[in-house]
Amino acid sequence: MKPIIKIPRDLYEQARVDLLRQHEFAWERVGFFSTRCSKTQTQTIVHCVAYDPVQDDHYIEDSSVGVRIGPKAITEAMGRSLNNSVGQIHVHWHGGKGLPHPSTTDSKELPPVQQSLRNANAKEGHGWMILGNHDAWVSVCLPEEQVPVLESPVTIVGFPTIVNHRDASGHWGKLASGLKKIFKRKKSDGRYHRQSFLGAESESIIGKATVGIIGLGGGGSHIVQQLAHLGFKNFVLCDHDCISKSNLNRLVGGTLADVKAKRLKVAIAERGIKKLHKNANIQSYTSRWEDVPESLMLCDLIFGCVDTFATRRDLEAFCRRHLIPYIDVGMDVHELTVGQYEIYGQVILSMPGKPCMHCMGFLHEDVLSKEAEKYGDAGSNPQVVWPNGILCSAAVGIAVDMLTDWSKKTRGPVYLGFKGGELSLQPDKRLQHLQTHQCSHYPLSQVGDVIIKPL
Amino acid sequence: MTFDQDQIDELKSCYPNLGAVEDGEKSFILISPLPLPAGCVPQVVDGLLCPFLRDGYPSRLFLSAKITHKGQGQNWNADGVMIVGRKWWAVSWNPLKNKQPNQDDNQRLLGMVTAHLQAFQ
Repeated sequence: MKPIIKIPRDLYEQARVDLLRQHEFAWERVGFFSTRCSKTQTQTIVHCVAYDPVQDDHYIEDSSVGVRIGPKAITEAMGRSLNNSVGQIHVHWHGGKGLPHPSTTDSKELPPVQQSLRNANAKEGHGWMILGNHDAWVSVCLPEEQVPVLESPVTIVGFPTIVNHRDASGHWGKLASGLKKIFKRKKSDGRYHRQSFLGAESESIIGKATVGIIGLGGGGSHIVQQLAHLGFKNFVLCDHDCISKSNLNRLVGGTLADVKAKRLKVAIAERGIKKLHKNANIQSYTSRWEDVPESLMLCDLIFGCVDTFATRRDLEAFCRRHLIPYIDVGMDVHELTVGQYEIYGQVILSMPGKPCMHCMGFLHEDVLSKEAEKYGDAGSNPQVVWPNGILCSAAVGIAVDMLTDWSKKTRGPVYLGFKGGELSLQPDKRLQHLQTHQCSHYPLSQVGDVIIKPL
Repeated sequence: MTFDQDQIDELKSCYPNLGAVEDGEKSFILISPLPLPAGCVPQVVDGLLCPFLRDGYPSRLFLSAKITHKGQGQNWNADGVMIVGRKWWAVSWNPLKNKQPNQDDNQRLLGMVTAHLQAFQ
């Protein structure tokens, strides 16, 4: 299976800006992405974690090609690979709308660069990449492989997140895929006509994205329902619990018959999806999310509808490690004085490379300590349907905007605070200080599988 | 986060195979293997020492498996939590609780491990 390449948008932009700078004599510029990998049993994900430009004086004047870099640039890349235990991907810019393609010169001159990097450090994956405006062509050779893999799928993680799926490999695969597209176009039944403002490609973007939902109770049931209506078809669902009578006041789709049958919450969610998409690809797990990391690692986006702060912390850490946008949804009812209640809730988009829930002040040691004193037991806290509906609708809206960029407005961190008495959902005041904030809690250098450094 | 070499050396004198692992901005110490006090089942696990404040505990010792034992630390509040890409189990045990203020042995890495293991004795 082809490795998936992930590039945080800030790094992508950093590379783009650098590569488009004019050089004294070279027609193009070159840089290197440093990479780390996450591996499942069947899939490798190559994460770009840093970008280094090639210094001006490391270019060599050669009018026969657009750009030529000298041995110093390659030596530096080798050094980074060895010193930081990272892969190196040679990168240059072609631009253009779709998938860029290598020139004859690229195909002739860059594989030897890849091989040189591999000779220097065979423990890491190395390659070369051509950046387009929204996609990238990549050749990458993983440590355990002898032959480079071409045209890996590339995801740009950020605002917006672009998931470039690749069709089946080989010419026949591409032909089959092209025919399928034509056939599908003919078959289009206007089902998503009313949401066509989301963009010409939105149906395809939504239909191909894989979404993880942790917790299918009061929050997750709203989210899964809306996602299915929107046209999402690929889900990883996690909830170990069965529906009970006390869930019926808020678990959308749950029925008395489900309670009687002690039906699993994931089964109720699955049933709802299948009524809209009979061929939906659903991985349902009746275990905790920690038991299925490999399935979650392959999600393009994860929603957390969980009860505890500690679980939020751990989920966010997991998502950051694998460069997955995480959307947190939660609410609580507080008794302010005797008989006087208020509902507080939040929707947070935790985007890798951007402020995290610690930066936002939502997670801190105080709340985690107090929760631990109660053994993480959320107990039978009051819960009700409509705040969940409001919060989850906002969360779904954020996800759709993140993937389709229909509003062209979501560019920074998202932290919406909800107050039930006012029925208000507003950006948290702390956000104004976080627009250019660099998250120190989850540095990109720690993305990918855990590295154990012997002491 | 870096660890004092003398404390690492002291810890290594009892547990030779140590590794540093980072999760977010925090550094943990992986102790593999970590032999447990007599009476614990299993007898040997991997340990993950968290030598900083977490969940209200000044330090924590996570184990790679849930164990049975006859010690005082019978309440657990971490079961299958994911840290540094692995699942861990830990008892609710605050080794500083019953210490005199001048007893700072358990502020050192080895002292922390020893104090946490007392939960199982």
